[in-house]
Amino acid sequence: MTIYEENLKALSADYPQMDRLIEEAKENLEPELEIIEETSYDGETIIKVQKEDRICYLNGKRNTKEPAEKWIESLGTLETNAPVFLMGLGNPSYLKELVEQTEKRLMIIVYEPSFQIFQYFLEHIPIHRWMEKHLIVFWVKGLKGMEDAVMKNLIGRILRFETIPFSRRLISPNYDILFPEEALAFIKMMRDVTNNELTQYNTQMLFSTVAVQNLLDNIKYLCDGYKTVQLAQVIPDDIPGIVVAAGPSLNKNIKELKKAKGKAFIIAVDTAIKPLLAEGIIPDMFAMVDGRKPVMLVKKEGAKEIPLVATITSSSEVMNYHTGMKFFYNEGSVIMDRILMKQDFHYGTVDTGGSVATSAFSLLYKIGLPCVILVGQDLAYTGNKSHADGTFNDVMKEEDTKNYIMVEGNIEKEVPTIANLKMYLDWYGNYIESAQKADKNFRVINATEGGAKIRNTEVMTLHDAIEQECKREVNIQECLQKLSPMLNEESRKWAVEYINSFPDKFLALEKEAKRAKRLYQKLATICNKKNIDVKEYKSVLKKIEKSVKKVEGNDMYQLVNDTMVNARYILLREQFHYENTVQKEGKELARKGILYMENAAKMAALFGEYTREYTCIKETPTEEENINLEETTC
Amino acid sequence: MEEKIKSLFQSVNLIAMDYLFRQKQNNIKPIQELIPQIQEFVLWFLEENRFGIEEELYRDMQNYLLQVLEDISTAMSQEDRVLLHDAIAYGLIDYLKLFVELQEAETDDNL
Repeated sequence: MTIYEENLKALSADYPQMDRLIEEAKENLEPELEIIEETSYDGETIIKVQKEDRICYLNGKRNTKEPAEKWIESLGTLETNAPVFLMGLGNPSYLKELVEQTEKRLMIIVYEPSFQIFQYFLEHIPIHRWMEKHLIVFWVKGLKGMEDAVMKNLIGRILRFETIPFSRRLISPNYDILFPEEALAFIKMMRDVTNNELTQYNTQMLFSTVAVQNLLDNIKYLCDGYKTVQLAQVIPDDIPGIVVAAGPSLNKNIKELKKAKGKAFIIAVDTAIKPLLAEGIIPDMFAMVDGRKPVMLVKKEGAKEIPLVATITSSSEVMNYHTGMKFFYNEGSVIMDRILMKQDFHYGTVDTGGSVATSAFSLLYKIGLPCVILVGQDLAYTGNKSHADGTFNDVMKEEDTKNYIMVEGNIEKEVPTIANLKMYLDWYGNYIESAQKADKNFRVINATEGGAKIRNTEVMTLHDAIEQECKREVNIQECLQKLSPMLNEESRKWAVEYINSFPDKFLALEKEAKRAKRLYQKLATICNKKNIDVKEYKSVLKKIEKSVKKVEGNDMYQLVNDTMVNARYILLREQFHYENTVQKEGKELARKGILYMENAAKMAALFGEYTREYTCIKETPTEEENINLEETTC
Repeated sequence: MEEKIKSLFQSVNLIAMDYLFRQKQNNIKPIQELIPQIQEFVLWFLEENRFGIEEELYRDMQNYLLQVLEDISTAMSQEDRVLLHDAIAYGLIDYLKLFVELQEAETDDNL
């Protein structure tokens, strides 16, 4: 059997069908470069690559090994299962050194942008032993199913907040010269995933406590609320949707929106409510996701009756002020899911994209509208302002933007922006691209007359967009009135009881967390002895496992866990850390377990008290219930 | 010339270390800035057998140094960082080291 055949066998054992994909690519792909073999001064076969009019070596001709050896030295200690991203197999020494010099099992993701180089590699380097030692994923451009978008998902699954400190990456020398676009895309993918993870962590840190508090305050609104998925039943699918964001350009064309009223489904972000109402424009709905949104931003006559689409963790201050219809969607919360899915399993989702406007945009797409018009969606500091006048202040002050990121403008050549707005900008581009792949007729018009250019959108004035798209009369409020709350009477009764059981559930969680803590203390005692009693050690571990399962199985656990963001990440990072002996490992496990469970019990006790005071629904009994109550009492 | 060789050695050595340990692979620009000094050293070496090296060995060394110089030149024109690092770290530096080490040995002797 040749090296190539052995390699195909090894690859297809781990990745079924990969041999077929390679053979298919071999037949179908046109050569894009020439691989030239040479012999190095120390007698090894090395290669250089001719691509268009450039020839570059992939290995050194005087010393083929040292760069790879030194790279491994520079990596420092690699933890078990640490992800290592390597672009380029043209010089196999890098992968060889990594695989052979590291005893701990690694997760190695190799990206090769040239199928020809990958094929050459498979023909010359036996990899089956390497694949036994480590988890190696080969991602090869040109192989079916290995498109960039899929690779981003893969990177996103591997490069998590807890794995970022352990991860390593290398673009093999000259790959950024020979494959500049691919190298840039690869770096960008990793950078985007890293930024997203860090942003998510920081957001969680910032909002974790307020988010749980809001959830516990707002959960009662689910009992009489609606699901976003219900909108698809009543909103006609032949009208456009309009997202009104609160970017500085909103002031330029806000008046035009009057012409769209009654001819589109208009959703405004919470911050745009005041300027819209000031112009006499009542949007059909407004959206809110921010947990700290102050009520003053929406406190204006006529605002509180406007239907609201909100996350359950958004500002309870605004939620309490608001009296109109409230629409919710699934956000991955266990207790929310229980209520949303009580009556039927269609809970509806909205892809957040990170901001309220991106959420509103996703909602309009998800309910099946064929065209979405964006207004005031600057995603930039147009005119050096962060928001439209009339939002936070009557006239917004100009910011010093000289150190801001510059991006291509919608109207202007370039506009200043900041990192999180840039992230939303990228999100829009990618999201619209995927949406249009799924539905070729889906269109997005960017009628923001300023701001950043959003990929895959048609740029148009709002006047023209309304003339072109808003042709059919529609009364959205009448449409919405046709809806019944998501829970019928019986389900609603169940939901009230469920919510009122929170204090008991927190109490049960507190008790179980305390029990788990005691078990971890026992584990510490066992591990502190000179000679470890293996039988006892295993028995306690089993009990811990059972207790932890009970803790995690409690519906309230997610809330407790969400408030302990740092502790959670510390535990997640633990999986990459191994001690030399079982005793040391047990001690470390016990130390962290005690701390975690102690805090979990404290949080559960705190939330238990809070829910008893603020979350439980104290409803006035109906006449019939009163009679029953009197009869029972008698 | 000794000081110039020492300074050139330190500069190219730093570029090679950055390439190896800090993944600073873009060595083209910093080497480009050192081309006049490299040329001056190569000419100085080729000009005469200053250290009484055996004639045949000296000729081989001259030829090899010319190959190194040719590789540096090719690498610059092709933006080939691998070839440039190879020519610098395992070619030019070996020559520079000869004189730097010789100087250090002489200093040690004087002490």
